[in-house]
Amino acid sequence: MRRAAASVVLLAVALTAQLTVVNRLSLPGAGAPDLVLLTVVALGMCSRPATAAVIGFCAGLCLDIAPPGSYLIGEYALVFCLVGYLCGRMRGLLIQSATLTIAGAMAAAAAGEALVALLGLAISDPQVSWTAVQQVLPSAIVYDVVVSPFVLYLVMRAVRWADSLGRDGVAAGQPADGSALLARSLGAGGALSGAALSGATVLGGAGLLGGAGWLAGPVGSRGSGGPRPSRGRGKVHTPRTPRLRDAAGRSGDGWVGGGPRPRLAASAGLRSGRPPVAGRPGRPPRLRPGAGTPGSAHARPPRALPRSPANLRIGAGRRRDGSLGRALGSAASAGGSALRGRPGSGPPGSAFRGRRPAAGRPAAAARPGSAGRAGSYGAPRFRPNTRLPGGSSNDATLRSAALRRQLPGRRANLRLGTGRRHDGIVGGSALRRGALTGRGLGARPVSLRLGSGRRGDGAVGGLSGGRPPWARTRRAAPRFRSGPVSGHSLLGKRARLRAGKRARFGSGRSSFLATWTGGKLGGRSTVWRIGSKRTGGFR
Amino acid sequence: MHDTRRTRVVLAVLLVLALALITLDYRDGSSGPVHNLRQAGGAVFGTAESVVSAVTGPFVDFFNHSSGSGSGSQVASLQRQVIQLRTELSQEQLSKAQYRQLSSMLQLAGRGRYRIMAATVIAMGQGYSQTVTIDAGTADGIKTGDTVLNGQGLIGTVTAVNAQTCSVLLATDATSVVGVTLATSGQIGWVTGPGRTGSGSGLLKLQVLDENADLSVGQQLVTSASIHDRPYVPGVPVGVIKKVENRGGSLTALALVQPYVDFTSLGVVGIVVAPPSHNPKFSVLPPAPHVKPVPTVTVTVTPGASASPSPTPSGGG
Repeated sequence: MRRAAASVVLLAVALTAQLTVVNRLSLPGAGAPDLVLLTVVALGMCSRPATAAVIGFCAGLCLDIAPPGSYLIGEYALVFCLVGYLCGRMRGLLIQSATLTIAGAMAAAAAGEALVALLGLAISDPQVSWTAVQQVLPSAIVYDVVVSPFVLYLVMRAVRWADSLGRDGVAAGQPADGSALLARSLGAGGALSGAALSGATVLGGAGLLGGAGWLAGPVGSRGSGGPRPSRGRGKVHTPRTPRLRDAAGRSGDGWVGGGPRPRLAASAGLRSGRPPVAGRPGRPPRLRPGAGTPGSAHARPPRALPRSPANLRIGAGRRRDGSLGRALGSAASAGGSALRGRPGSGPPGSAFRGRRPAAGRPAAAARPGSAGRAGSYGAPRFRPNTRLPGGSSNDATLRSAALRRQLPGRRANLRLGTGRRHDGIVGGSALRRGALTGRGLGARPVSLRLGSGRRGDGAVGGLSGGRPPWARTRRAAPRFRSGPVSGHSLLGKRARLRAGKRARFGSGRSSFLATWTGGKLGGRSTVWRIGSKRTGGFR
Repeated sequence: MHDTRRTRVVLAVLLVLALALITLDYRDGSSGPVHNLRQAGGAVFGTAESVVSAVTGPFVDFFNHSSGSGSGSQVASLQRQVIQLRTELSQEQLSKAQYRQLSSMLQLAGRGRYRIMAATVIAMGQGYSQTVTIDAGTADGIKTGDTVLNGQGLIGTVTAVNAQTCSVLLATDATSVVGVTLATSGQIGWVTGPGRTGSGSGLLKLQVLDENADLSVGQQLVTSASIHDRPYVPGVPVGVIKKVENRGGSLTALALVQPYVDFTSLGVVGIVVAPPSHNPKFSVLPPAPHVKPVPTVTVTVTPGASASPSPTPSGGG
């Protein structure tokens, strides 16, 4: 939904800027860059085809009816719908290489301009004569091609920012400063970077647009250095091809979707085995030797440990896991409760689906799934926090929590991993509020979690109904595999995929509404297909 | 590979919808649901455009007025300073320019006894159309078919009106046809727009009904009278003839007309809300041969041996 809101805002900005500014500029040549088309292209590049088609249609319709309007309503809607669909089909490029993505965007923009002219000629729009096309089309295509990388970069950045809003509850998704990105992209080298820089100088806005930051490769996995040169020279898509920051990670990359953010890395305490500073708000220290690729379940090689971000993270959780991962953990630490015996979160207990249980319900009752039942570490995973403003605590939960804490054998909660957004029942904002109160910030022990749940593992959730809760639980596929984990190994991508991945089920039903909101109702939003290029798509 | 059946269904539905909209709009563009759609879009986006244009307008004008002047390699701070000073200067000049535009427009309206409503261009059309949006609507008494002009001459006619904004079809649009009268001779013809061209404002194409009409470079055109003064009120200056086309075998006399108005930098415009009680004929025209046509005459002297030293040829007035 945040993605949809971001798309609407981006398109509105592009539309008004196009009509009030760009079209009024007396640029050399008859044409002008079409910001709306470029925005549709960029949004389509990070959406599914159906969603992209809807986006394109709506954008074109708005352009049709916005005064002064087009000659016939529906012309731009038709063209942009097609362009959006094509860009949605090209979405796979995003996880392959930045070069291909930008080239695809340029081609799509040029195709869009040509389609506008072609449709005008086809329906004999009196404004679109052949001589006008000859005058307008070349310059329009040139403008679009020049401007499209920058629009692509800005749009993807905005989309990613919107997504990070949903993940964290705060608008702190800025990955790195522009200079670092620029340096990284320059380190990545390639003709494209130079082209981008020249384009920036052409526009005179290099600093404004962040330079060639869109070439940023996988961030954080290699520390501060640039991407290493790939070994497979002959291949087109080597694993180390610089890719857009918004591309999903590949095995060994060390980040998913966005990469570990400097903020989190800085706030995590265990970077060098240092105990966390008492009283400092922030995330509890954890070990994380690199985040896994979605679906890959690769652990990072141990040699990467010292340089990696501080959280040990093997088999990271997915959203709606049901695990009270880092979210509740941090809030609890802020609240001052010593979570020494915090129950680990077993994989199959994905029962919460991001919703809060009703206030006052006991923790066990709040889990419709079978968190305690299905996993081997399936101890109760939910720990009520008394300080949370949102409730979910009463005497019963406190007592049960205390009781649980006394149980022997539950203390060894190895938790190597962290939750994702919508992890717990308590959203990020509530957590942050709890953290802001700053009451009794105590040092938290390291909580290790061996294997957290993945999203979509286990229970399909309460939405399906009809069956008893345990019957809805589906055991997850084994998730820790010690496959070839040496990130950029000599093995090819396909070989690693075969060795390290296992296909999982996609659950949930899809609907038209879900197409727009970018997910399936009641299940995992993305089916990772192993062996295809879609592995690790853009959520 | 990820192309599910649902995706294809969605795409097909959207395409059919778009085609249906095109068809509906083609059949009855001035009424029906499509018209309501356009009205709603105008209400929403017109407001947004007027708001945004209030902010961005000065920058656009600054760009259009100072394009082509770039400073060389200088220290960055000095460059910034220069830009800042130039912006201030340009703001000053802009307000003066707007004042000039407004006063000249009022003079023109006064000569022609038009009652006009002043407005500003806030947006420009997309793609191949030559249309603009101005910030006056039905709340100001604007109706479809009103004539739009500025201090130089004819701009276009209102094609769609919303509450706060209206769309104007420029005279340079390919679909625009303006009935004109040649000054002094009174011959009647029409002018069509060139559409979007590379040089910004191209030359209008004049066709005169009388194939033996005496067309000469420097002749001035005004709009001719229309029924109920609807598309265009009479007497508004349109342009001067810049080139007389070879008319061999043509039923009508052809000429290319340089419009008075600079369509690349439209600012203050006026909408004629009440036409004059009598046809102003040629009284609104600028003191013709002395102002505009002189350079055109000296540049394109083809007909005779008398080359440059004839600043004012026959087209006196």
